[in-house]
Amino acid sequence: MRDCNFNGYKRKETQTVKESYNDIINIRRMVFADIARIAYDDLDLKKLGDDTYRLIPGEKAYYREDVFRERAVIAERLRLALGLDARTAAESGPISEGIENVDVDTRVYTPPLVAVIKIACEACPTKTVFITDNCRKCLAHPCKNVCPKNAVTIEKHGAVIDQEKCIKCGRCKNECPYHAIVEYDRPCAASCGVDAIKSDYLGRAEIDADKCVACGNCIQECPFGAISDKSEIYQLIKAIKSGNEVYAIIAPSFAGQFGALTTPEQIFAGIRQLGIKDVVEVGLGADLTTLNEAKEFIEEVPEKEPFMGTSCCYSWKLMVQKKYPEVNDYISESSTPMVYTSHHIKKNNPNSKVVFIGPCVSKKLEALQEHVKEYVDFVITFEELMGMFVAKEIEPSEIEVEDKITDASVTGRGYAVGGGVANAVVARIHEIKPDMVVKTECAEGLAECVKMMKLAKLGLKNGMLLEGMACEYGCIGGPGTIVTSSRAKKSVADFAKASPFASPADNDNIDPEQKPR
Amino acid sequence: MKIKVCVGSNCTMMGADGILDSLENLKETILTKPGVNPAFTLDVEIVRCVGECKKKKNVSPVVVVDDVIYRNASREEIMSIVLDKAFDHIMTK
Repeated sequence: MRDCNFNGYKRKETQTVKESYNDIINIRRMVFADIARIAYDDLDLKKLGDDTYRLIPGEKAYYREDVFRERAVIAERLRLALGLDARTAAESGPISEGIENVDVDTRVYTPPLVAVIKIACEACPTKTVFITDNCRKCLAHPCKNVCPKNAVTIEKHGAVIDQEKCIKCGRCKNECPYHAIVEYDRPCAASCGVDAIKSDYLGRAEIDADKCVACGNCIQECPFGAISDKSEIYQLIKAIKSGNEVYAIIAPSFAGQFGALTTPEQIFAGIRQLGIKDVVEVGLGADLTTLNEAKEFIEEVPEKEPFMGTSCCYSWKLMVQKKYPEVNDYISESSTPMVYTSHHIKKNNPNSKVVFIGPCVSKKLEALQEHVKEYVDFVITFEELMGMFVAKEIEPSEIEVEDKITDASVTGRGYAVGGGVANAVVARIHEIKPDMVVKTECAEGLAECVKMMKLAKLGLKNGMLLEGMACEYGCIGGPGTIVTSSRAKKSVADFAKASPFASPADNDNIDPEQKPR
Repeated sequence: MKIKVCVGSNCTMMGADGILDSLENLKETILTKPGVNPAFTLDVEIVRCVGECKKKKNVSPVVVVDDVIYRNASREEIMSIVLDKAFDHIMTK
């Protein structure tokens, strides 16, 4: 957690795990492109089994120990990408089982949206302290001497920890002069900020639906690519093909995602080439969120509410609802940018369909909620959109575009980067009340969000504006993104600068009646 | 040394940005260290679709190193080509 003034804040620039997981990322994206191709070319879904051979050709294994398992796993990925549930090895039907139910042009998938592909999960050990063969069986054996549970014994080939006795305090690890002792957790569980990953009867990961807030972090972190979300690209493409008027709304983090030479304007043009009627920035809705949150903060804090939490990240909101229901009322009542933007389109085009394109898995869950599902018909990620571009052989960077995009203000576009929401709201508050002092704090990553809320509940954040983002770096670090966060951050900043509106209040795309007074 | 990294749709989907990041990282780290051949220069150009994926399926990402085309290029492969060249005066001794 930190003050949200990100200009003065230097983050250690490390590459997040995600970008180096090339093979897993590529498999995931190839599946999206494949499903998009099936949908565009009207291929027979019953023949889905053939695609496992197309995607994993030959007889030599490349990703896993054997080619049969590679194909079996990719088959489950194909099913998830169609909106079906992944199956276990116990199910005997063909991979196309149940496929007729998803061969439609409307939303069909149901929770759980994030699930473990059981046949891909390697059942990694849960949190363990373990002595490796780097142990020299030294005479000093500090590992044994510092163990508060007397769990370390020196055996023939070196020190051994009795796992029954070990309490994972890590003291032996810190003492070993040979760095022979490691402490590790299964990556999925370690990445989960709400402790939602349990084990099933075979020791494989299992997601506790009561705790999960669909942030998608475990999808990015699993080194075996064993966790995936469901997709609805197939149904979206069918909706476009069956003649619906489909509008796209695209999250502020989109800038720079679709190739290093592709401008935001070219991305919009590329989306229109997919058969989509028009594209609107979700930054427009973000401007409304800013206006509403600023008004709410001025009116409510600290007289009626001790503090206020931002409302745009659905995983953050859901975490507060589930874990801290007693302070749930202090999360802003403003709608999310996605909902405002969709409303903006649907009020003039009531028969149209709206697809939200974003970096986010939890928006897929948000769009299933009452009062949201009527506005948002489909949700896809940037990766899934990229799959559609590839399937249709669209090269956005080669499209000639003249028009500039002018849907959102500078600060609305800034929502994409951690700290951006709080910055926007504070800037707006200062436009109304220049002398008001607003203290802010931003949490990135669900674990930090949980920590911040815990302190807020104890009254330690009173008077503050609290920004919660379930993903590190904010939306640009989301599980559905394509480029590294540092690259995206720069593109988002450049695009924000190009906005004609310095303040959300200047945004003349928004109906004056909708703006709060 | 001149490297062209294709950032067409296929190549972007299959990790062109990761290759760009790796090259940038090399420029900031190992290539700033003493011992690099003084004659060595690294010029990374980002280019539009070079058309390889239209000739043959499943070749992305595509990287062109001094006019040699690398299909299914990986970060580790391209980085090692760069470093072999940057330190070639030491290796050949």
